[in-house]
Amino acid sequence: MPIPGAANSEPSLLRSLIDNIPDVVYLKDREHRFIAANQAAAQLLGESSPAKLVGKTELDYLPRKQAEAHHQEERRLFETGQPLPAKLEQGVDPQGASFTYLVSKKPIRDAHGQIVALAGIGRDLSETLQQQRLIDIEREQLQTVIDHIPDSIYFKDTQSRYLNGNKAFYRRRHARSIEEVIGKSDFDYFSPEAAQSRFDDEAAMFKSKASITKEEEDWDAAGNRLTIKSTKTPILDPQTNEPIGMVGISRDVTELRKAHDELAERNALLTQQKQELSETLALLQQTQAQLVQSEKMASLGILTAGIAHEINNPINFVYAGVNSMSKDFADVKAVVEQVRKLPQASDPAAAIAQLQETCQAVDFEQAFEALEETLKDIKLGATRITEIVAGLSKFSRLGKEDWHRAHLHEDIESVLVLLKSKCKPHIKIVRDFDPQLPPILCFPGKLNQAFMNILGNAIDAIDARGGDGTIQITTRAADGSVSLSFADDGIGMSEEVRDKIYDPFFTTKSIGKGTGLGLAITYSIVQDHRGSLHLETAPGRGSTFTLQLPITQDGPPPAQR
Amino acid sequence: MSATANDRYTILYVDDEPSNLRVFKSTFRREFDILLADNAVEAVETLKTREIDLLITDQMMPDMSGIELLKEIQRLYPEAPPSRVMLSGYAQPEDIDLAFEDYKLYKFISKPWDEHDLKALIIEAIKAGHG
Repeated sequence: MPIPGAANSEPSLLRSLIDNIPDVVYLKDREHRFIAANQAAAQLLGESSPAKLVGKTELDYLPRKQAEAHHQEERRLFETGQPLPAKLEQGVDPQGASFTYLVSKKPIRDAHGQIVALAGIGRDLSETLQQQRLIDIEREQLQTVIDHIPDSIYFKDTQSRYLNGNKAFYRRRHARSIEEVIGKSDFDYFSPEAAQSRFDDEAAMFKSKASITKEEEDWDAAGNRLTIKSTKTPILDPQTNEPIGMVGISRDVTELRKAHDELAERNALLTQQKQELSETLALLQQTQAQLVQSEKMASLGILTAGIAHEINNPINFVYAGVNSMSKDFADVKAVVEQVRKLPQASDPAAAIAQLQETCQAVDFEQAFEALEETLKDIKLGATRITEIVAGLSKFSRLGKEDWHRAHLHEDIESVLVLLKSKCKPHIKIVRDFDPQLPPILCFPGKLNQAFMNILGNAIDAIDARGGDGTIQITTRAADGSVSLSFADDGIGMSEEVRDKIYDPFFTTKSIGKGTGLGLAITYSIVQDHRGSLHLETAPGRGSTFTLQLPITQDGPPPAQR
Repeated sequence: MSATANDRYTILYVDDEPSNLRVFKSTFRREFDILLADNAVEAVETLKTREIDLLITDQMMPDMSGIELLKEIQRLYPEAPPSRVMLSGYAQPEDIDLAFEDYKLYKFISKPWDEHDLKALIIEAIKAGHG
């Protein structure tokens, strides 16, 4: 059912609709004259209303050449009856602004099928083209950037086939343009194993949808092996969130890797050298400990002979003394037995006479006297043995390898006891001891070893000269320290010898008599005590060693030797 | 004690340690005539006046050692005493070979000594000395 008034209102509605679309719409007759047009068409051609266009042609508005070209195309449409494909038409509007329209023209036929007019529709592309141009510029900028980045940048599809890439990328593939490599893959350029490894990495990346970074192998144009670091990132379809390809960036890290490897190598070498050094150090320390030990054993060996003599004499009084006492006692007992029976004797005079006879026979007086004497000798022997053993244990200070407060006079005496046999017959020991000498904090066992070395050398220096000698030991208390000097009147030392005395293994003694370690160890012992060791000597004038030792020690004890 | 004074042997013992001298004499005075000297000089003096069958000397003594004494005796009285023994607290010294060869040293004994061993050696040494 027709709507009332519709017949009249329809054309005006259509008119309003057509005037309001942004596209240019017009009708032309076979003479190219506008029959009708919309507002947009009038505006484009500079007319205030579409009605003013009617009866005019493009020749009235556009440059002649352009208008005639359009007319020529339109004639073809009229002749062939075929629509004209969409075509860009550009120009400058009356206001001077350039325009671009995509124009399509179609024939309009009457009831008999005769072409009586054409309809033209032009879509304004100015803005679109402007945007396209901006996009093109941006793309060009981007392409320029990408092409000039030294890293290879490339795109691949989900089958890891090359889609695109920058200059660095295709040049690395020895191609002159990207077209040469598009559609190919790593399998066309790398060993099957290398290509497969990359393919597998990328397949895993597509599966996990997370980017990966990996070092890979590549070759430059000259065939040199390169190390590249590639970061590959999947490109996901924004709608499905599924991978549609990937972008890869590969950086040449050959130099970096080389530097890194060299650094690692050097580091390993350094580590190894450090390891070797610490092993050598450990070995040296072990050797030093062994040497110190062997020096101890050597000086002990030298001492043993002397100590044996010192200890064997008193043992002899005790051992042989007990034996002789039992003999003397047997003699005395015989007399005593008779004396005991004397009161019961029937003939006292005869008994006394017999007693006197017995006394004479057994030499009672001598036996009786000897008993008393021998008892004293045994006591003396026992005392001396005790002293020597005490001296020995004091010297070695077994179990006291830490800081200890000690009276050095006692320690010096204990060393002298052990050296007694070595110097007894011909060497006089003069003691000039400071009675106020305070006890000092020290390693007594070690200090005794030092005293033993110095005094042992003093005796050897006197023996080397021959004849009798004197060793003077002087002790003095000073402010915060004590000084001990050991002066001998032996052969003394030349300057040459004196310069070397603290060197390990330097010795002037014959083979087997000295280890060459005594003074080296003495020096280190004094250092352990944070003390000093001073020597005054000259050939033929003896030697004086002076030790200066602090009374107390600050800080932690030095490493045990 | 069956031996007469004439049968008894005389021993001179030299040692710088008086206790050693006394103990030695107490042990052996019943079998032997014991003369004592606490130094080498006195020992040489004794040899001048007494006939000695055996000299026993310590090695380590001040002024003159046992070996020096033997050397001195060898120089003064090469024939007397006929036998010489060294008794020392030391181990046998390295330079003692000379004493055996040149100073008629019969034996070196270490202290402490045992009565029976020493007595046996004394008799053996005296017999050897008297040939």
